[in-house]
Amino acid sequence: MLTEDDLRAVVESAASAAPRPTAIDDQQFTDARTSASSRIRRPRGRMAVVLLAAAVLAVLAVSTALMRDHGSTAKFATVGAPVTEGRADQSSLGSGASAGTGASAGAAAPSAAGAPGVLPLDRSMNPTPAPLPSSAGAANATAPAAAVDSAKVVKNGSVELGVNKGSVAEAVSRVTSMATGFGGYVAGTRTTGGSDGSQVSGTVTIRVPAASFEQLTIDVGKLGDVRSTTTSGIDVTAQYTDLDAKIGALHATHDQLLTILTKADTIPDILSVQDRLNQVQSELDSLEGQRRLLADQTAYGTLAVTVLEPGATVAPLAVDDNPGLGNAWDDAKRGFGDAIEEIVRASGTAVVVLAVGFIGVLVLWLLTRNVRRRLV
Amino acid sequence: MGESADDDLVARLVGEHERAYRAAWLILRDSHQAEEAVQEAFLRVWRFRGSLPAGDAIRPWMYRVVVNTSISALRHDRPRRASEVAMPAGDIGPAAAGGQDPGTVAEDADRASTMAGALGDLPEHLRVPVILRYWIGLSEKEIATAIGRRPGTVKSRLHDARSRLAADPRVNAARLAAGGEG
Repeated sequence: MLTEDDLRAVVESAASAAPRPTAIDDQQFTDARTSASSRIRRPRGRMAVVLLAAAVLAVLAVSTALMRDHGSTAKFATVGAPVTEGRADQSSLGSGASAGTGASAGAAAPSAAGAPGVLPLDRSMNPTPAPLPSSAGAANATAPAAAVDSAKVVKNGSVELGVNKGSVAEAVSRVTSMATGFGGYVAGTRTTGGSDGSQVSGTVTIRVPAASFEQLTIDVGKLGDVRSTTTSGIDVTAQYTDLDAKIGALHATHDQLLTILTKADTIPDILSVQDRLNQVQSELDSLEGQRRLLADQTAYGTLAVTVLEPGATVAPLAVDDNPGLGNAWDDAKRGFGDAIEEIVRASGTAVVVLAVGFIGVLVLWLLTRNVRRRLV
Repeated sequence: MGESADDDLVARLVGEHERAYRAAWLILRDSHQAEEAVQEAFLRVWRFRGSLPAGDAIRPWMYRVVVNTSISALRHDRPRRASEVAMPAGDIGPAAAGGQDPGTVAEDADRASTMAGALGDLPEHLRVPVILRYWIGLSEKEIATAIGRRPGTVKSRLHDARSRLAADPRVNAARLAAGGEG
């Protein structure tokens, strides 16, 4: 039997039989970039049909996912557990669709609701519809632990404290210390001074790990007289899960395209695959960016603490419930899903049949045109 | 991908060129086709550099492209390939450049040609894993990536190829000769 070394010697000896190759020139790679692109005309018919079909399937898949996502979010239920005044929103439902509110519950401690903040009941995990609890504690006992563990909730809140005259600076300092003590940080501060140069009010916005958010809210309330407290939790579990699924699917597509790339024979074919790969890469980057943003928003809760001397008033810093691209993405997705849903609802199955028929005719037309050209 | 990453990739491609060319030649047994296949493969790697893994992880992908372009050329031009088996006498690679004894050079060239013949007689699906394993130096897992098969299949093919080469009298004769020299 041949050993590994014997085999290596055989192959190396065989390889040495090859004539010397022409030396490779570094410059040809940079030249190739421009010269190849100048030779581009249009993808060959076969690859164009494959890519067109892939694009159509992708659009249908995304539409279906969006509609399913939009539909499923309506089944969510959340229970808010405010400190003194609270609300729980579903980011996908819009402002008017909060499922559960604890407003005016009057319970000062989170334990009144069994769990601080928001308890999402994701029915994609638990197919049995979970009723809205009349008693939050009872709901907590029946809620699946896995749903709580995997919930992605963006926590925000604000607290307005009254303190003794001359104690604003000290209170702000103690809030800051508390935040850092919980592993958080100060996101912003604002103070206003009196005529004598002393501070009469101050607002500090702090971000703390989500797990410590409720405890911090309670601790902050002990620094003075609580005038008002507002907390909110936005359940983005569905959004996060959806992003995860899309990212996973795009990674699979990316790998498949790489496999196709290795089998493509001509420059036009290669360029067609390259275009699609670039699109997929771009979509992946965008979705991963959104997921990172969501992960950051759910990892840290944001609390705006306003400290006031007797008689002072100040507008608290606005707490953005769902800032940035997340909102725009939600709106766009919801709008697109609504539009598709409305069209389907209004026209029944006819539009679906027509759409599928149109795509079929288009693909057939492209195929026959390609075959006819080859025959000519 | 930044300029420095591009420079690294160009350096890697230039560094791997001769090895890739000889791998393509072992598959194609035609120097012109091997050069064309490698050039096309490298051009492809270059165009897709933004999508390929960085660092050493690019090697399996790079050789996957080299293997695929070589096999594609092989299937398109079988008749022409059959005409080129023996090497031109004055064009033997590394041995000819060393200023060695002409007799030794001729012996090495003869052995190389014989081994190339023995390897070339292996069916393509066995030859390619052997080349990737023992010439390129890829692991079985990397070969699996390169040829799009499972690692178990690669292992089985390597075993089969080894058995066939072990039974080839040309390989045994060369081993005996090498043992005698040693």
